[in-house]
Amino acid sequence: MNAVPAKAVHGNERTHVERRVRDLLARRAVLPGVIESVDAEADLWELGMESLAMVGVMVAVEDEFGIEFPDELLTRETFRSLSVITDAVMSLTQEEDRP
Amino acid sequence: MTGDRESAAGACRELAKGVLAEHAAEVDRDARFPKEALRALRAHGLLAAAAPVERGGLGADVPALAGMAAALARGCGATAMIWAMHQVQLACLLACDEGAELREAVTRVVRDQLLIASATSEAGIGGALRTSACAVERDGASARLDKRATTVSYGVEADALLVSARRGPGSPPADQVAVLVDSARTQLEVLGGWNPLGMRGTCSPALRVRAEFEDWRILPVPFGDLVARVMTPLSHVLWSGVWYGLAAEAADRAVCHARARGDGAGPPSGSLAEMRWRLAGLEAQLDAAARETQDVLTGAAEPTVAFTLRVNSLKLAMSQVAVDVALAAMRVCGMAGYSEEGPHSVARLLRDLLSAPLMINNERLVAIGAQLALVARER
Repeated sequence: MNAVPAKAVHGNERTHVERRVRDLLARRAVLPGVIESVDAEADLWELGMESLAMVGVMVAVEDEFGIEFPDELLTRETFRSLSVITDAVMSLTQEEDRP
Repeated sequence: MTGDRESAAGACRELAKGVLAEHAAEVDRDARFPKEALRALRAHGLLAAAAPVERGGLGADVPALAGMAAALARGCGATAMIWAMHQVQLACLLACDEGAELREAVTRVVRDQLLIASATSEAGIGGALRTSACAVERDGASARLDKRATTVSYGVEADALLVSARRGPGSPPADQVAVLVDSARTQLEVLGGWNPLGMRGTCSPALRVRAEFEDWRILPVPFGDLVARVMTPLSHVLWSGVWYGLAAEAADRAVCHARARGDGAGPPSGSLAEMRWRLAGLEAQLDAAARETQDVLTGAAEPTVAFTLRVNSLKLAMSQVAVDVALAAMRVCGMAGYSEEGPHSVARLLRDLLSAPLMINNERLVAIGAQLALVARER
């Protein structure tokens, strides 16, 4: 591990988290046929995600990663794209990893 | 500033006792638009209440607007509801008037106190405002839409309408935009009658809206964001202000009736006390939600799940408890309350209030609330 630059570890982990988020949304049939291949930066609201579907996504992401979103992150912004969701998950899992 | 706001609230109280009360019974009986009241509101600059002072408005914040809605409702519930709905449309426009042409149009709305209606409901979808069937269609430089809306309050009387639609013919139902269409360039076709139980002066039939417009009339903020940040919270707070005013008026009439009967009638009804504690709870809930909504409108707070749940809860509580208060007032007033006429009549107040649980149906709000409660973090 020492030989691998921190940035690369971070990059790999990020890709991994993003894939798990994408798979999770696909399993929950959020934007079926679209979510599997959509760009991570794409606006999920513009692609037609409905607000009640977002609640299901919130619950599923919390359960999948064993995290709890604080209220200030429970907004439309946090769930706007796969990339933003991934950012939120990573910031919360890193907080919990900290001793 | 404070003086202006105080005088705006005072003007609402005076108008409620005057021109609103004077025409309320006739407006209700004939289910006609309260044109005298709207003329008076305009004369006092009250249609631009929510606009900032530097844009030519009164600069009223959300708690002040809620107080004004309650004050107006004491004179005429329909007028107060039209005013409240208009403030919501105005706030939506002010929240996203980027671009020179749109900004100029919004400035004109404020300056001339143009009346703005909203067409968010749709045939086949009903009141679920986060999905649309109709779409903006482009034809060279101009765009157009054709919407069959199920309920458009004062649409025929309005100077402009805010219409929700899918972004384009290929867009999914939830990818919506809001379009500010000018009534002069819009064909409105009344599709049904208007003969409801209450809030009759709001004149809210089904309408077919056919409009042509320039691209800049499509608001730059996605409709879903506008709904979450402005339209839903402000609607719930200002509608609740109206319902609170109607309930408070009913309670006051019950007190007047009890006093007029005098000591000979025995001790005063316990309903008088019940109405007060119910109103006190509603007032506190309304005030808290109004302050929170103000923070969301200014960007000081985000419209989180817990916030949405709290403003939805305000709407649920107010729409149910205000009806309970009016029913209690009617019990106190007896036949004088049941009568459509006389100083102790509660009839119109109650009929108006019975629309409250249906405006964004409480059954749907409860279902949404149950979902939101799964993730909401309480403070």
